[in-house]
Amino acid sequence: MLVLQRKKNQSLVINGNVTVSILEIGSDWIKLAIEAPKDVKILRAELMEAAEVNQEAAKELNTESVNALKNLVRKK
Amino acid sequence: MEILTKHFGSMEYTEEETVHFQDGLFGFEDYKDYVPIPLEEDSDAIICLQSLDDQDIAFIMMNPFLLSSVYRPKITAADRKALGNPNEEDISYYCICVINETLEDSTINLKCPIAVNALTRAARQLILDQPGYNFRHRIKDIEKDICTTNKKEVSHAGTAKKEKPVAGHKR
Repeated sequence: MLVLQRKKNQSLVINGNVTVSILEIGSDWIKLAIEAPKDVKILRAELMEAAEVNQEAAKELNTESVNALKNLVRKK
Repeated sequence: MEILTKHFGSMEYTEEETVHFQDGLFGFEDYKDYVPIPLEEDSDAIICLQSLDDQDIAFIMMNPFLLSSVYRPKITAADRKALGNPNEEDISYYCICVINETLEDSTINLKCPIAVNALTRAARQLILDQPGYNFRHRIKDIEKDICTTNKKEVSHAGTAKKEKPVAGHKR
């Protein structure tokens, strides 16, 4: 993994065609500008994981686990 | 109306029971209409969220407040607006579960609750920016999990919220 330091208004270029610039720096956030060709897919990492967890949740169910879950709720 | 469900065969439902996700769910953006089917009559503890567009798409979700007395999702102004600006007491929250081979391995997603406007039945999956709420909490020790990772939040927590169930019809 490459770790580097950049200041406000500085940028870096990935693969010759993706430019990431630091627009603004807050207390616990930064604002980025990304210039990239249309076919480069950019996603917030948490969105990708959210989609992965949903995919897992939509698979087949284990009936025994569902029954155990019902029992757990009944005890509450 | 009749629907073929993933887990319960053919079922009757009414238009009023359906919920609409304008933006779909994460990874399921094209599937916007669902009917919540309670696993046990008159309880919103465990609900199967069945897609009306595709029989094979269904999620198990739970009322998180029955599992944890300290769970406090904070909806952003933008998300609230997308739901039609309901009051907090008119929003119901549910969390999607991954049900694995055993209950011990099964998890609940506290980071991405589904918020439902109980008045209009508009629904939206959120991503919370609150520390301590993750994509995968073991269902069995959800309370312990939140308390150890999120002590600060817990100390600020008030009394348990009263929820308006979105699913409670008889099957």
